[in-house]
Amino acid sequence: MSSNNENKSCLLGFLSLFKTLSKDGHLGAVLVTDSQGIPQEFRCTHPVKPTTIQKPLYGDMLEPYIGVNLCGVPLFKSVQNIPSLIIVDKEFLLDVRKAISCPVIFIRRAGEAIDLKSTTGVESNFKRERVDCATGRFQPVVFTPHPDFNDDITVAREILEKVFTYLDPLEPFERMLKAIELLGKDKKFQ
Amino acid sequence: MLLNSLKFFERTKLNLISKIFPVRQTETLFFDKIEIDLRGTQISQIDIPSISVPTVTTDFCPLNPEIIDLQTAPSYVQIITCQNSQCNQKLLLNIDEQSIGKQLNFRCPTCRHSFIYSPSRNELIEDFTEWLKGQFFIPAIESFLVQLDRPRTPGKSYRQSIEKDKQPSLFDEKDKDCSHGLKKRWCSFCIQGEKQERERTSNIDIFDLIFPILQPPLGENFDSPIFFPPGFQLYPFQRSGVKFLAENERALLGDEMGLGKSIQTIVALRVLFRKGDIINGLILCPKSVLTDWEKKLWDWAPELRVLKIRGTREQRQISWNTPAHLYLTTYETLRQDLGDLIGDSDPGNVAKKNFDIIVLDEIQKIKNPSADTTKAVRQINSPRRWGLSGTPLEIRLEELISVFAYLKPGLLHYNDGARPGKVKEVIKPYFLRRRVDALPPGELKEKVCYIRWFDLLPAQRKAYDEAFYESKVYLEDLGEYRTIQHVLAQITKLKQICNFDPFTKESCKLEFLLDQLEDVSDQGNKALVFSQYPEKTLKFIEQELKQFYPLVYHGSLSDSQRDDIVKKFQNEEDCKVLLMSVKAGGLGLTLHRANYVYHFDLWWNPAVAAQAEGRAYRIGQKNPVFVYSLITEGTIEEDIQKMLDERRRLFKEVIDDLSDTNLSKILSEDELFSLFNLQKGKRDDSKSSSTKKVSPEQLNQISHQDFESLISRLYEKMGFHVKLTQQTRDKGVDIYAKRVSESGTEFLVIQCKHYPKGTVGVEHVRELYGVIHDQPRITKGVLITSGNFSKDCREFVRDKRIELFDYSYVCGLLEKYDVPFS
Repeated sequence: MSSNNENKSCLLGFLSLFKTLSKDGHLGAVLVTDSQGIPQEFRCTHPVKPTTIQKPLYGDMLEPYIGVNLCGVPLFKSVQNIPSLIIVDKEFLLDVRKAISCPVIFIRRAGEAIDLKSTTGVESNFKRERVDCATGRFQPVVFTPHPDFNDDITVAREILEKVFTYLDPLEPFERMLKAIELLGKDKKFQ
Repeated sequence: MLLNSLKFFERTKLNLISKIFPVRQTETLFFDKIEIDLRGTQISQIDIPSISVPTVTTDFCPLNPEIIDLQTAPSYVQIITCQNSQCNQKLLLNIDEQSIGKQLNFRCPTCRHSFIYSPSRNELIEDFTEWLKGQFFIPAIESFLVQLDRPRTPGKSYRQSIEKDKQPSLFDEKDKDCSHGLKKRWCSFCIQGEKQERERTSNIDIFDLIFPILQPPLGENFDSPIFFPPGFQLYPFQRSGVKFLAENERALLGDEMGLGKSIQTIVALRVLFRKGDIINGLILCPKSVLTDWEKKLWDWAPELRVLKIRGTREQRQISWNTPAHLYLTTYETLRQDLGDLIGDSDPGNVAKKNFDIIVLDEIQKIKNPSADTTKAVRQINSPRRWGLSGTPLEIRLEELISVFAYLKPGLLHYNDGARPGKVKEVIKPYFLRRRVDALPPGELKEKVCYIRWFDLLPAQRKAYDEAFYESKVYLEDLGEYRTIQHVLAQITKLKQICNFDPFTKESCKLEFLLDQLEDVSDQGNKALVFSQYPEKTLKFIEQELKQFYPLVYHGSLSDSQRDDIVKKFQNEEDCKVLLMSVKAGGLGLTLHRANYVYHFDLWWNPAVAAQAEGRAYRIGQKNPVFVYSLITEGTIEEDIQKMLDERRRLFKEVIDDLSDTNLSKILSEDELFSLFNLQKGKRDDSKSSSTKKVSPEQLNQISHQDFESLISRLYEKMGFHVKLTQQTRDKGVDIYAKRVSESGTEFLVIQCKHYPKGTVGVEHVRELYGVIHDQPRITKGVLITSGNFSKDCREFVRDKRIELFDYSYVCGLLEKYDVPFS
């Protein structure tokens, strides 16, 4: 009973950056779930649409800047349910860790080809940990903490191992994508 | 290497040539100087004219600016105002050193007014900015906003909505007192508030609409442990029904009654919402099951926001325009709201017409193509269309074609009516029907229990609300002397109105029962209908169900009559329904010819209900038994049901199922009082429980005043609202007592004579008679004494509205009602 309660109180935050349907903007979204993946809170930003001048001026830093400074950090400052662990699906989003006290990990499927566009290319220097699903229900995952916060590995591993038996930590990003697609039908999010 | 190659090549060539053209002995030739000298060349002279120097003119250098006037920067500038009072134009003057102090003639370029002005050195300005602005074109500097705006972060916390799924506990928060001074889970104000909160639709926003999409995936075969709330699981055949619906945009689910068509539909809808395939939908159903659909949606798909369309036209219009996942309404409401489109006199057309899915419960409602309802439904545009019907094959082939004309336009044609074989073949991919008796063994429980919820019909609601108010006032007036008996009497009265309105005979339950029995009868089955009120309810139902040849089984029948009824029901096909009182028919009988059982009124004791159901669900029963409990929403039935559900849930998880037979033991006094938002009387029960047998001696020891007080408490215990009169000039009346009961309102006038061991004479009873004889509203007068009555006195009251209670009778009543002396 107590472990169930413990699991229930352990909240996970999923942060991602999406492109708008018209592909001319970005919007960040965070989904907070309990350890079973049941949604507790969902927040997303209105789209950030850089101009044709801003795009070359920001260069490669455009997405990380939007993802971390404009979306990620404000999103986590606005959530009402503070997660115990934040999972991101883009490596550059790890930088939100600098602004918040909660552990942040970048997660991907083990053995999956790395999308160089979404990484800074220095991932090989980061510490990586592999987590296997005890029941074999889900494919193993590899996670990486922020290089300045290697201690996050311990906490992240502990939480991931607990939830991985019944929740695939990559699956909530699919839900978020669908939700963003639906939100895109609302003028405010176009 | 290259040079070596060349040399080799040359050598080879030389060798080759020398072989072909062998050179003889070389000869040395000598040339003299003349022979090797070059001859001198001849030089021809050509005259080349010299190029003249070009003439440079201004015409050939257009790029050079033509300087028309060389302006020199002024020494000073000064701004003056035109001296024409109607102009007052500001003028910029360029002034050199020589002009200072001289009188200068100026002309205003705007108004052409000439005036003389003498610039002085003190007023001169040495800042040339303004002057320069006039002389040079200053290019605009383009600025680009490099800083990206920080976006807003809207969103929603869903945590509040899942609080209800918390682990149940015997000591949860609902046991705390609410602001009304009652336990939260008993207080009908709080319960109503929660309900209103649930129904509140004005704040549905986009984040509510995406909530289903954010839910975890369903898992293969819907086996995710978090998909269904506890206690809500699908049967295997229902899973295949869900799959059939989810995979077919156009489908007709024709499962036999009782197999859970609506549940399968709700789960299939849930699947589509979670996958993001649909965003909104419309459910049309008969009025009698509208509330039941709402309840089922709440139970089986709690994450979906459902809007029940009802109320006035304006309210409906608001509802249609409010965002929701599902809009739930009746065929009649839709017809009204699309009235003008189908030529109805009612100016409707307020309904939405585009949905991602439409569900038509009892789709045979649109079997008549020329009916207004059918026309209205056909206005609805939806890519997904599902129909539900328990008896799809009982309707004529032409009607089935009409149904499919909307479900799957073009699939069937009206001339297909003559070819049933072809129709059957064509609709096969879109049609699923399972019969109860054809299900594999173990697919369905042997007894399936459903609760059906109803909204009271308008007149019923009015009668109920009035009666509830009366009951509440009555119980409040009883004050601290109200008892469980008082409350139970009021509950009985209200429950009977939930069955039907005694004045208008309106009954939401009966409407449902009639629909059900038609299907039961069509399927060749039979039904038992139970009620606790043979006189007040069963007799009424009997009149309304004549088409099903109902039989009535109640306690006042002789044994032979009872046997005849049972034989008739078991053996005669025409008799489709047996109406039974729970007390008379609850035990011993075998009625397995019936496999549908209806509890017309709420029987809150599961053990007694199970005994009644056991008449059909027993050895010899070949089919699953379907049990329906009919409960009205927003009434005392719902309140009690909720309390019992909560109690059952806790007990089932913690101890065992409820098995007690007495409601007052199942629910506590506090709970029963809370049905009327009251608290139980504050009188100290410990004292009353220690009350010993009342003796005349005890009566003798109290004062006259105490005697009156004691009698008033006795009447309160008996369920009366009492009022003591003043001690003097009481006009012959000590106590007024009033009680509202099933037989009407009793209004008593009571006179107390405290004559220990004495005898009350006829004069006192005459006096009482004088008070009541010309007042017909007084039900009767009561003369009570702690002594005896004279013979004359007893003679006098014969055939009069007066009762006499002597000391022995009073002692008996005090003991019976456990009235304390102090």
